Amino acid sequence: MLGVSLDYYDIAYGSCNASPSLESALGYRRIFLSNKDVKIIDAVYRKEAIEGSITLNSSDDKDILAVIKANPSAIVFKDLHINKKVMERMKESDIALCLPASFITCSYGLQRSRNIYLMSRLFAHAKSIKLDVSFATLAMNNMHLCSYIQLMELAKLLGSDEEYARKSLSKINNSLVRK
Amino acid sequence: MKTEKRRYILVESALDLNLQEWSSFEHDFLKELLHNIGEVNYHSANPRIMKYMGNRFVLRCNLQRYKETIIALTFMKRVGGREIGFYTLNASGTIRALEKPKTIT
Repeated sequence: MLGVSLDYYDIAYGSCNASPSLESALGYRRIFLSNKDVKIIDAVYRKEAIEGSITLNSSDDKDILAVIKANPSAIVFKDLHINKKVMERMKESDIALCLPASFITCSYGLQRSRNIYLMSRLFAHAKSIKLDVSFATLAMNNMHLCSYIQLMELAKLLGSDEEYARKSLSKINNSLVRK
Repeated sequence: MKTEKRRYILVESALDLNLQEWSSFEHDFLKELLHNIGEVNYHSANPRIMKYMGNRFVLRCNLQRYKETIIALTFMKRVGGREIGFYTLNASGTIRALEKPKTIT
């Protein structure tokens, strides 16, 4: 992969003030913002709003299968628990699993340690069934944004290899918004 | 004697760094880094701030603990009682190379 120039993308909430100069300093071609470039929906089942968006749901949500049918571009498991059946359905429907770095950076101490463990297990299972995994910050403010170097190291901390981390930050993150 | 291989990391603060007002920044920063990286890793990373450039500074660490240092920097959200964030913009084996325009590969 060395020597090949890649464009990296991040996804954050609209409350971030990501200017073009900050985007390029952090090494991204673009930081996609919610309500501008992409929709981020928090656990509310509204079929018409879900298509093409990133939804935040619990893995055991009673509406989770309906959410998958509504064809979002990615799903974030808020509880970080593995639901094998749901993840299989996501794979069949070509829906990515999003692992937000903010779950790690916004927590402290034992909670952070637990989140790293749960996210690494989630990543390992997703990789074993060949489900696309998107690493993004989903930052609520500028303090929680990361450069692409930091995001790649966090991806490696969760068990990804360098090649997959690069693919996730470039191709997969871009495809979530284009969907 | 084997020489230590080092890595220089260009770090940007999300908060304005006014070092005249915040004279204990380096001490507060390294204390928080120690908290996040752990005592054993801190010893082998041997981090030092080499140079300040406005809101940016060059952090030196041991090459073997480069990854741990980057992750610890990502985890640091509060220094000296102030909310802050750190972005690692570039990393290199020499300070001079950090000042060159960055090419992403």
